[in-house]
Amino acid sequence: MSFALGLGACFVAMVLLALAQKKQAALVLAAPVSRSAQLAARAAAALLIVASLWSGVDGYGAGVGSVLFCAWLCAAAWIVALFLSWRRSRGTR
Amino acid sequence: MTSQGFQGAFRQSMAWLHTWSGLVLSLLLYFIFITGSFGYFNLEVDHWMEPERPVPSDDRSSAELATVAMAYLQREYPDAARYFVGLPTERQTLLRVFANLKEPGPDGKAFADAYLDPATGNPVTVRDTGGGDALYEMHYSLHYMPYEVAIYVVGVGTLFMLLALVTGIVTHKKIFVDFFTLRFGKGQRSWLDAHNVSSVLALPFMLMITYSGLVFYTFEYSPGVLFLNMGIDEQAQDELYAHIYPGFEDIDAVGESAELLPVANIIERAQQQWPNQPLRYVDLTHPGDKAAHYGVGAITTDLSRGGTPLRFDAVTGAAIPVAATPADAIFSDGILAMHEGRFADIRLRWLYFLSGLLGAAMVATGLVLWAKKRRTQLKKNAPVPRSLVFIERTNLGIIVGLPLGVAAYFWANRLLPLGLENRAEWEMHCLFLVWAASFAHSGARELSRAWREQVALLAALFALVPLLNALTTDTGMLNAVLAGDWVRLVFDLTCLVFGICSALVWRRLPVPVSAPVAGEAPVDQAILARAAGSAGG
Repeated sequence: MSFALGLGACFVAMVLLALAQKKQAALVLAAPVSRSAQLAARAAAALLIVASLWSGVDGYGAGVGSVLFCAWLCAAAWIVALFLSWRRSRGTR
Repeated sequence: MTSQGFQGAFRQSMAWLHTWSGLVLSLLLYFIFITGSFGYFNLEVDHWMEPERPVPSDDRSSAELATVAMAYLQREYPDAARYFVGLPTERQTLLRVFANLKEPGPDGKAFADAYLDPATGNPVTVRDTGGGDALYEMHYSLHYMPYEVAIYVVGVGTLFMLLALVTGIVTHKKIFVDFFTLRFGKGQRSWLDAHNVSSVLALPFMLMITYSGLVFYTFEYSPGVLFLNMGIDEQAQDELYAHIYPGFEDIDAVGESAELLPVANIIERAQQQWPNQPLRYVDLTHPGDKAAHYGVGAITTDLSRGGTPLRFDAVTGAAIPVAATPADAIFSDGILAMHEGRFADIRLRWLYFLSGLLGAAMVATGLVLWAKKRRTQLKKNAPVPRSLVFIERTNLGIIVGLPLGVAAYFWANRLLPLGLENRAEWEMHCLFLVWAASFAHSGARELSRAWREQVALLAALFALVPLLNALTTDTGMLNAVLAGDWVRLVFDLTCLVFGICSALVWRRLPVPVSAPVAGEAPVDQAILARAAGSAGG
């Protein structure tokens, strides 16, 4: 359970971080993201990343939990990068 | 110099260092990443490469299995000095038994080992194969090279890799802005994106795997530290190793026979101590002697390479205290455990494996990027430098040749005659022969044709692995599903997916123009120019 939870939290955090970037947000959203929304997205992403780390450490111990957390971050970032790349190849700019 | 000027010059020098530290040993680094990645699934690859192995079943308890295995060892090797039983786990389906002999056997070996079927307790004869371990061991022993030389070669490569990583971070100006940027179909820019994304998104893994790789051979790579602190006599060094790897204190046999407690009792006690950890092994030292003792180890679930085993007097059942591991040993053990991922469950293993392949992708995209950059810097109609042609062709041999060799290794496992002498070694020869053939082919053929032909072959070899498996064994995909043999099924499916991915790459490779007129270089340039838009994606 903590595995899916941690990975899920990292994934949502990465989506929020991508949406906080103008270029990436333009691939997904119709309207540009306001400055305050960008800040809110980044803050929420930071919280989720901390929650994910906590979930890893709580479920698997400090050592293995930290390793898992890094693996979740990488996997989530990859999924988001590939999705955005796919959106770009579909002609969304 | 202004601070901006200094920063620019510093970044430029780092970029130079990044390029050359990555390029010079790229073949070695790519080889290490590809073969090392198999280490995370070495037992699963073993299972596929030994189709004689039974399907895993957990019908019998660890105590029952240990009893069966110990009975086998006592029957077959009554005079052995030590018995070892590797219990079946989620990843290792067979009972592995091992005996240290007091006198070398007829084959000159001082040990004997066998695999037993957990369901029947009978020995299982499997084909002679290197399996997943041979692939994994290659990433630090380099197979044909003497081990003592190989670890230094790998050490230099790892050091270059660490340098390339650190300088890469310094060089990458827009590391956060470009964090998710992966644009296909933009020629050189796409290769740069792919290189950046494959390295930045897996950066924690890259840094960890490189640093921990160096820690593995700390004393070999920096012997001065050892000599200066401990002297050069062997006893001092033995003391250091005994401190770092405390293990068991030896207990000598007393020469008096005694009735031993059944192994099942010991297993039960170990399970009471570790209620949530499956047991990995049980061993018995000095069987039949009054000083006999059992050792029990569990599967590691923390950042250590084997955990602290339990030890019991085999006559009285009393627990024998085991020396505590010192803090520095715990630290280095933790670093090495992270490298090997022994604690990882199947999900984390996949992430490790994919991250390893990303490492290979990082090296491969860096190589292609280097060559493409030089191509675009050439003036129109200028002759292509031989060095660039050489590197472009070598790139193909490296990037596609090694996976071709790995595919050949799997095919050899199924096609080489079972009775062939040194069969396992021949499997490995097949890998290297095919890899060498890939270099020869990329040198002999027009480059874009060579790319298409080799990638097509790669796609076919991997995509056809399930068919080959079904035709040569009774562990094909259908039988695997019926028997619940998920490891073999997933292996076949993974090969199929890899074959399909290779076929997709093949479809996007530029089709070579026919009939070159005035030498090879302009044709290559034309192809590359035309492909600039499509090769990236």
